[in-house]
Amino acid sequence: MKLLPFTSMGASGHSLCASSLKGLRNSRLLILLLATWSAVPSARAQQEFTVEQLDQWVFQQHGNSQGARQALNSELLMRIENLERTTKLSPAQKEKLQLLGKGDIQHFFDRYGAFKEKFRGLRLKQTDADFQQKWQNLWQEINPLQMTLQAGLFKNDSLFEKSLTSTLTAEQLQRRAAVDKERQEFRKRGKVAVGVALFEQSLPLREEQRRQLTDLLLSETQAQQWQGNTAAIHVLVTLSRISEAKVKPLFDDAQWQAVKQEMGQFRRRGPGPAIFIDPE
Amino acid sequence: MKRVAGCFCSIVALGGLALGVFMATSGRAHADEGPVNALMKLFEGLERAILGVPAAAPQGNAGIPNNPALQAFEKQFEPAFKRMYVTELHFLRVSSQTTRPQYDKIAEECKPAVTAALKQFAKGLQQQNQGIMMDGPFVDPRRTITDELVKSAKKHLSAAQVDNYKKELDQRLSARKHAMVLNLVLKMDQVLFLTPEQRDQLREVLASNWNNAWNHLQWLQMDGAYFPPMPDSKITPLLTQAQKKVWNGVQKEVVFFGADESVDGGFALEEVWDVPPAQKNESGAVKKSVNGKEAARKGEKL
Repeated sequence: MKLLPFTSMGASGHSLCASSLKGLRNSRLLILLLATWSAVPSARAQQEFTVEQLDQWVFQQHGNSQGARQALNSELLMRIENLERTTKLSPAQKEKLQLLGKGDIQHFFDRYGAFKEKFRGLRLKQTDADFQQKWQNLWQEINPLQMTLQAGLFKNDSLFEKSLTSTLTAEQLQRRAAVDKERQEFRKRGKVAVGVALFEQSLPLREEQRRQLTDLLLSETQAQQWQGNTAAIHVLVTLSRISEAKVKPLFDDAQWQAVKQEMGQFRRRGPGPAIFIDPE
Repeated sequence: MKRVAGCFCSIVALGGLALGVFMATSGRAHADEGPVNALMKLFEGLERAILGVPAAAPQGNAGIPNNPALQAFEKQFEPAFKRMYVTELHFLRVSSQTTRPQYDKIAEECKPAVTAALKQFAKGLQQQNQGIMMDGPFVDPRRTITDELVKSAKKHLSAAQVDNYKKELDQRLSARKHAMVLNLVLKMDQVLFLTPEQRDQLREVLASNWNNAWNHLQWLQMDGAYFPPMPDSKITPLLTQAQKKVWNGVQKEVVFFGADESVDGGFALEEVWDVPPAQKNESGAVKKSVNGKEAARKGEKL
């Protein structure tokens, strides 16, 4: 995917002006517009991209690195409070987990820091002869950072998560597993409900059908299958992997023909676990 | 002469400033419609800013008769609206057990409303793509269609049939609200790591303080911790001190989602009616209306 940081109006601005100004009513305005328009884009294109811009590309929804750090610290605080509440952490355990969690956050920002230095050294400008190539290379490094952030820093391979088995007692771990399982089940119920609502954007259901479809999805899927954002396609993929004998009775004849046609594209992929890929 | 030159310089300076502002605010909004159109938009805004030219009608070129861009949008979404209509008619049929003559009358009567919904949607989409404020809030076209179906059903169906249809529509709406409430709590849970008791309490709070601004599935697709406006005065008493601190830092804003370009209308459903035995083949299977199917796929004129 080719991505440009600015709208690409800069380089060809002059010729575009000529073809676009016919409709303007005021000649004085025309002159001043030509004067300002011809000056702004070229000046902009010659400017170096800043670290602040890099911050925005990497940290997107958090705005900048400071916002991201704050959000990550909040997440760590909530994770530890949750553990404290459910497993009765000792002060020493709490302190250790805080330290390791902060280590995960720091590790990420160290990665970003190294990349930021490299970016500074590039002194990237839109007018660079090899701008496209440089930008593509840059993107190859920005993307993994974004992905890491979006997936979450406290996953199974994090210091925080890995240390739990050695930090918590067997009883605490058991309690934590039960709480996590309950949370996943809640998540599954929410995702199935929204999945059915999305499905109904394509095929409205009666109350009885809605209840049966919800029950079927809850009984035939695992909580882990409802990770990420839910899309209508999740319901179709799931239905295509469930025995027809269970799915067909949910629908009337006309609905079934339509559903069957839509499911066909997934059935052709053959049997296998219904693993959903986040369409985002 | 000096005065004229001074005045001209001031205008240039003002123009530069205004252009900067417009580039910052409008460049992204107009980037998708091509640089020439984007540039024209910037100039029009600049002209208004500097010379005090009255703003153009809010609909932009969407209001121009024979607007090819608008017609292209209408054409693009016509098959989706047809599918949407057919699935809603089917829902009406099974909810209220309509007879074929009743169905046909309602289907015919509501066609103009579907066309109007399509035009409204296309216009909204075009305004949105041009970065122009839509004439009014975005109305879910499916809702427009069902509203018309209810009106027509009242004319052509018995009171009991209408009640059954409306009951099913209400239940659909309730299910949608339930899904949204559940998922907003789920979204909160991702940020605050709630206890099961807190989740139950929050579900009750949100259900009893329902806000239509929540009723956008797009909220659930957004990354990060963006939330719609929430009834904080009722939420915060349920949270711990640490949770309150985090919750207060979460962005809660009104977001204008506008028309949904991804609207696909629905599955290609073909209404099947019992046909006289003479039209059945030897094995007893009902002949399929092949032409009807093809027409549905192509999205024949409403």
